[in-house]
Amino acid sequence: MNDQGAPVVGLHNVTVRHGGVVVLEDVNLAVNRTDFVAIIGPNGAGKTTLLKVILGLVAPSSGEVLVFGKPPNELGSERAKIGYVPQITSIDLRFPISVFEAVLMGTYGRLGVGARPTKAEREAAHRALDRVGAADLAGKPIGRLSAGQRQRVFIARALVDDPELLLLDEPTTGVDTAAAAGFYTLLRQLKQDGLTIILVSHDIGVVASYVDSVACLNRFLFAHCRPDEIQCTEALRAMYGCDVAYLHHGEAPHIVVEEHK
Amino acid sequence: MTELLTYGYMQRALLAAVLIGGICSAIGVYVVLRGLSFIGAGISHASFGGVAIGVALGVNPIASAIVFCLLVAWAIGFVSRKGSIKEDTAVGIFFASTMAVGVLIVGLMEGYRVDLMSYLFGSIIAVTRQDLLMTFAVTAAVAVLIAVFFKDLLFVVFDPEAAQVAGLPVEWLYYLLLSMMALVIVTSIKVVGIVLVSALVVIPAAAALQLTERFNSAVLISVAVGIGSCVSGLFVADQLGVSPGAAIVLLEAGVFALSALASPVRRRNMG
Ligand SMILES: Nc1ncnc2c1ncn2[C@@H]1O[C@H](COP(=O)(O)OP(=O)(O)O)[C@@H](O)[C@H]1O
Ligand SMILES: [Mg+2]
Repeated sequence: MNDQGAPVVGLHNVTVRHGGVVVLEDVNLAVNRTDFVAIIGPNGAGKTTLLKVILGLVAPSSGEVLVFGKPPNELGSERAKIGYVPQITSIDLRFPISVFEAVLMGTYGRLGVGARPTKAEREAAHRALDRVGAADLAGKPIGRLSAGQRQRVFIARALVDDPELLLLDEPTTGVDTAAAAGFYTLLRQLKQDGLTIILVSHDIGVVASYVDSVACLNRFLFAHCRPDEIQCTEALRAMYGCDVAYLHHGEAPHIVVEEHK
Repeated sequence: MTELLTYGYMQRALLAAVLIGGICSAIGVYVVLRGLSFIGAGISHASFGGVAIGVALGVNPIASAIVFCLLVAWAIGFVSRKGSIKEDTAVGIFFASTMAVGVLIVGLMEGYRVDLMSYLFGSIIAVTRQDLLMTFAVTAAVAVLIAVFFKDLLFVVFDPEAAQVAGLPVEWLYYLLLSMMALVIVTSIKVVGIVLVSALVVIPAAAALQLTERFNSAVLISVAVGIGSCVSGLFVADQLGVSPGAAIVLLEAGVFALSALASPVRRRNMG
């Protein structure tokens, strides 16, 4: 893990309320350059909200959020440094656009309102599709993709403007195990290329074997640690009520979760 | 049928039908995809209040309705975005209360009842030169706005959160869309009337979306269906002596039914 410089994302005592209900409470988190962090927690834990706080889509009721050293709403042109892959349920899959058009949208922020994409933007979109191994899908309507293909396409959209920080919300929902493994391998590759990655998931088992650290969220952030550290196991037990054991296998720690009896 | 075209009123009606049929169905694709159909219905009914105010004040009723409906559209947008009120609730409130303004004014001004009725049900053959000029101006303005902000509106309608993260002025574009809806709807009430106008926005777009999975094609098909229905509805109404507004809307509904039956998109989505 690289600790040089200020954290890419820093949350300090962040609390979020939705209509009186506390969704996040006193959350502290620091994510450094090229970290690959998983935030896991059950449904309704506040994972999506946490990402939206980092993105500036949800304002915390108290606490401080810094992204690239600034509050998210003051980022300006640095917004282009953030790539976001939303939860798939937030997207209308019958929307009449092709994969290529969806990826091209990733350039619209930098292009600015009213400007047309040029050859440079179109080439960037093709490169991004190449990078995620989805070049052959360019002409397909987005409604005709498998769950795994869809995730690659939305990552391509997030990557098209060469971001430094990538935020993903439950990217493996509905993706089969083999495709998910390929998908996490792609994310590892992106980390090697210098990206900082924050991934939100309730899929503890698979995630832990690919990431540098795990944060366990259920309104509070329970632990933010390497996946092979013991307090992480404790936090998972507290959250899921299940026994978690680790098997070390080569460099990446693998994790086995047993059903709670 | 060709001798009809030699009458001035019929020429004006045809031109109005082409302009309105085209622009309503172009904006309609965004409206349907973004789920704003009910706001469209709300705006059209609010125009009754706007027209009545114009009649009462002695100014051009369409002009006063445009101002009134822009305000109502922004209010609906504001309340549903900022407040804790859902969009459809906001529409439900504005829908009825602005219509009530019109009803109230009608009640106070006996003599104007007939005039106002023509706005409720439309009277395309009574389109004046001034109406036509206004329709032309609005159509041109909205067409230019769509052309300029084509890609940005598409992004915002497809994925508003990603658009906001990318730094697009999402709120501004949303209000732009609402404003274009208000302009187009109010300008169109002369043709089909307040009661039926939102159909001109919704039905051609809904039919087009049954037939294609490409946004650009959807816009083209929608515009073709809109213009085709408006023009042929006008002739059918003239031949049968029925209401042009009703003929146009029923033709569009027929095209939608056929599109839905033939739809490759629907068949695929149903697996
Ligand atoms: N806009 C909102 N208004 C009210 N409550 C919300 C809103 N967004 C999320 N919530 C609530 O906040 C909690 C956390 O939601 P979310 O962040 O989506 O959780 P997760 O992504 O972990 O499933 C849930 O109980 C949800 O109902
Ligand atoms: Mg979520």
